[in-house]
Amino acid sequence: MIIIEWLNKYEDYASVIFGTAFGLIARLMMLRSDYRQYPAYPHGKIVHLALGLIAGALGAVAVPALYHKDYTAITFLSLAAQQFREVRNMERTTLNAIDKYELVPRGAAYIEGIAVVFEGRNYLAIFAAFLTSLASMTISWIAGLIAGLLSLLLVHFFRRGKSIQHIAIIEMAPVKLDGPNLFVGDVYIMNVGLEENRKIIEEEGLGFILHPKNDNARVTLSNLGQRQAILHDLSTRLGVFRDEGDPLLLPLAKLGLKTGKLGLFVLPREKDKSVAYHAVCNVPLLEAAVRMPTEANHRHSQGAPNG
Amino acid sequence: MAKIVGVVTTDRNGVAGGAPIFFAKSREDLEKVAHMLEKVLDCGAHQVHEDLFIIVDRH
Repeated sequence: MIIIEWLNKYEDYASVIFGTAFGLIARLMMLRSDYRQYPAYPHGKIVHLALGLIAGALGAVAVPALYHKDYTAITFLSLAAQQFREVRNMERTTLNAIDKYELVPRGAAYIEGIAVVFEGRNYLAIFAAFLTSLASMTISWIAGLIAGLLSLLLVHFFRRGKSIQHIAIIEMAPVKLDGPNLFVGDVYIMNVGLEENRKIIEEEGLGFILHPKNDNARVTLSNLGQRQAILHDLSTRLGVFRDEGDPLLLPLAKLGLKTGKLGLFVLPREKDKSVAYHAVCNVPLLEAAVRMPTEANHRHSQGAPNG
Repeated sequence: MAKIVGVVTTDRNGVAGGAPIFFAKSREDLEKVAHMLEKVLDCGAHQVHEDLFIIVDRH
């Protein structure tokens, strides 16, 4: 009872508290450590939770400040933007440093994608806090609660990106060796010289063919960063049958140039076909790899040259 | 760009040129030498044909 009275009396504080809380909850919701194993480190988590708290507080404070005609307070938001750009840099640097020591590296495109997501999620936390604070300031703290929950839903929706299965049809394909030449389905992968490597590849290798669903997907699949991301994700989920000093026991993705389909050759530790299949399906689409050439060309042909 | 850092062959007349050339006595020997070079140099051994391997550096 006392709390409710207090909330009614001091709506400024109420909006700041709710805003900050929902901002932090939003960040917490978006902070998942999954098979990508990042941020799995406890300290990595603390860093991001602390930044989430700051983001929430900044978003929440902005509304009461504006309400009291304290317009300079908005400049704090630009400070926040600066701060979160720094987050992106931090993630990039850390992941780049680790990447050198991965058996199957993430690749620059994937790292960039992860870094951008970290930055973007902080802005989403600010946004959630701002909405909550706005509702509880202008209507009542109950409206603030409802707005907070709604913004959490919204954040949950934004958190999901697309994955490979949205742009490609994935099928398993046999790994074939024709003398030294390695094929997945009919896509040429590489030349393997040593008999012992060939034996390992024959026993342990798994092959996939990814058929792009349309012309845009064709461009995305041919992106080297996207391919490396697929290989890395597969290797983290299934393990990888290789060591340093075995340059030919390397998971590879090659394009069938004529057809545009992508041949995927992997050497999993755990040779479970259905797990591997789902792992390929769920590889995230990298923002850097998504192109829309058909859209651009379509627009171009509308304003056709005339002379 | 990839670089050829070694050539292993059983056929003395089939090869010449800039990269170090290793002559093997037999095809088994050829495999052995290529294997050793692959591990030591951390480079891939590729088979051009049955009597000729090249060691390729892709770093």
